[in-house]
Amino acid sequence: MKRKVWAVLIVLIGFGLSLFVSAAMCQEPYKIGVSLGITGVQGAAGQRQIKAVELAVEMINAKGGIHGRPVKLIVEDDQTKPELSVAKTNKLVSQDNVLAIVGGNSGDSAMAIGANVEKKEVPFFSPTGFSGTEAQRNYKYSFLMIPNYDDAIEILVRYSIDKLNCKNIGLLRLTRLWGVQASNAYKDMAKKYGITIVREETLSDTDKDMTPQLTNINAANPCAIAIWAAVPAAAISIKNARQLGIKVPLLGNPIFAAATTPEIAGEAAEGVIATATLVPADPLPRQKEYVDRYLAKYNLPADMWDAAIFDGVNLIAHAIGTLSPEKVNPKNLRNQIASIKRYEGAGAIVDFTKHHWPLSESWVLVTIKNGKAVRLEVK
Amino acid sequence: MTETQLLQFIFSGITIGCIYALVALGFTIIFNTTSIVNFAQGDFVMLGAMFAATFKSLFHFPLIMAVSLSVLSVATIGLIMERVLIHSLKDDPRLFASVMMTMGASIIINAISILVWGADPLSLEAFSGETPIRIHGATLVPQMFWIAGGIFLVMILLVIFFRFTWLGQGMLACSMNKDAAASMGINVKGMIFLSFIFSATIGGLGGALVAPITMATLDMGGIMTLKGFTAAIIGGLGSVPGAFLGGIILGLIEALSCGIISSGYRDAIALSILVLVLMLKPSGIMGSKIIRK
Repeated sequence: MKRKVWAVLIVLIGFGLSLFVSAAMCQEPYKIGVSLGITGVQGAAGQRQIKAVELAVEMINAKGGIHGRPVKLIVEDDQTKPELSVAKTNKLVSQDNVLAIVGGNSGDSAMAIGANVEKKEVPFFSPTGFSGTEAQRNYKYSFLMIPNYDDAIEILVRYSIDKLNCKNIGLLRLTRLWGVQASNAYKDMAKKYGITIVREETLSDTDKDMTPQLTNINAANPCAIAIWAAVPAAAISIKNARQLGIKVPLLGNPIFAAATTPEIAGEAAEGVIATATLVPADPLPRQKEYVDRYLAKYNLPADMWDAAIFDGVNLIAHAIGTLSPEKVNPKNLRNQIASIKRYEGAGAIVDFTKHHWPLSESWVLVTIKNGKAVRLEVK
Repeated sequence: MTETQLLQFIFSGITIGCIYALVALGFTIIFNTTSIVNFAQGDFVMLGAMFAATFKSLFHFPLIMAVSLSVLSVATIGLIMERVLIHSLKDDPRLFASVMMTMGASIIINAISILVWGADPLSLEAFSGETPIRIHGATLVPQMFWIAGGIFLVMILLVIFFRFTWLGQGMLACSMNKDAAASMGINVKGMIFLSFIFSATIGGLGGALVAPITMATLDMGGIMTLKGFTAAIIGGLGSVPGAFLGGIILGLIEALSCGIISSGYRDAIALSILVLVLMLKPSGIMGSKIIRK
């Protein structure tokens, strides 16, 4: 009888021990929340970005995770709706207890999440730019992973003055926030460099024909036309401009450097000048590994926005690694991220001790040659 | 504003108007048979564009084959949609439920398409080159003539079909009074089934024809439904010439208000015209005078 009791006890202790050991082997993962517009207005971009997030986590876990613990993603689709992104971040913070959030792939979603995480005190990385809004500029917990588009526009304006000898620019831009910000930036640069925006016209994402707007711009005799639009409107605009026989140089936005625009715009896109942080067909050495792995895994060319969110996940992992495991919490993580000095990512170069968005040196000039975007070396 | 500019606005309006007209025509068949407004009509156009671009640009099929295969594929999807969603409704399909079904179909088509094609847009090269035709300094893309040709072909076939064939008359009868049609020996369900296949065929052909101008994107379905429906309402829902006229009018209003007034107010002006038409002549420009209860 006694023997039986002992046997049972030993089995129980053994079972308890094995539980303890297995718990230690497979510790709690570090949780990162994602609130991304995988459907909705920015759904196309969101689809690519979620792939980049998954690739980043896969690469981190393949190297043994952080402190021997894996990184786990909790993914929420906010349908590119700001109000929904707030609900999703609330859920990620209070129910899932995530350490940090990546996502917010449209300007207004990023602003909504930014305001929300500021109260919740959870660090947030967004693949958006235009750090122009005062609120976002001063947020402690938001980190924007696209350098300021104002700087990209400044580079284009200077190129226009120096290389094209052109001071009368026509502007065709989106009606939504992104386009309004571009318009403001062009007007600021016009003041700063003494150029004239001879005519400004607008377009929507779903527009299929831009010839009326371009006819009006052309009538104002610009020596270059700036186009600030997304795919496919950007490609249609280029085709329409050439169709109307407009021969002046076209200044694009970073969308023009992504693989799709030159592909679908075809011959009309030849010679378009733009700026980007990543040129998928012509990456910088620090970007090559990411571009190759993204292409190999998904059979899709990477772009600068998915690279931006990829960097975001890596920066979070990097910052967790610098903390000792018991000190890992969103607040400490934020302070650690904010003290990151010069980090050269797959997308841009950041120095969060200076400001919470990448350095303007991340922008490179791009032109489209033989159907592909390539970096343009300017002497 | 110079004459050339005005001419260009008119050309732009006609081009985009032809695209709207082609979508609007697709609405007429299902409406004429069932009084249902098919909210997946724009998605048929999207599918036509995506299939044509896939067959031509990715698989490098010859143009004729790519377009035919695309039309065939979309017609098959229309067939499946009717069998699964509309046919499954009880014997007397309530109008409201059927319309909701087409909205559901639109969402399902979109969700499956994103899995099949991914999110990136595709392009289809123009059928007869990209060199624009110049008239007094204004330009027209050659693809416009293919679209216009497609519209006239579809319109002539539809008019002949509805006016002079037994099948077409049967379809019209179904729309006017299902019970009466059934008691005259018309297979009502069969007519509804056919109307979905025909509508999908027109949508598919439209998609293939407009893709070189609009590009093939997954999100074009919604906007095509909206614009095509607006055009059909302006012209008179159910009227074949009305669909064409409505499309051209909507295109011209958009292009002219965008060019002459402001690109920002374009949609507002176009929708104001719609409201105006509905207030002055609720049945549309070419619509029948009798308003059904």
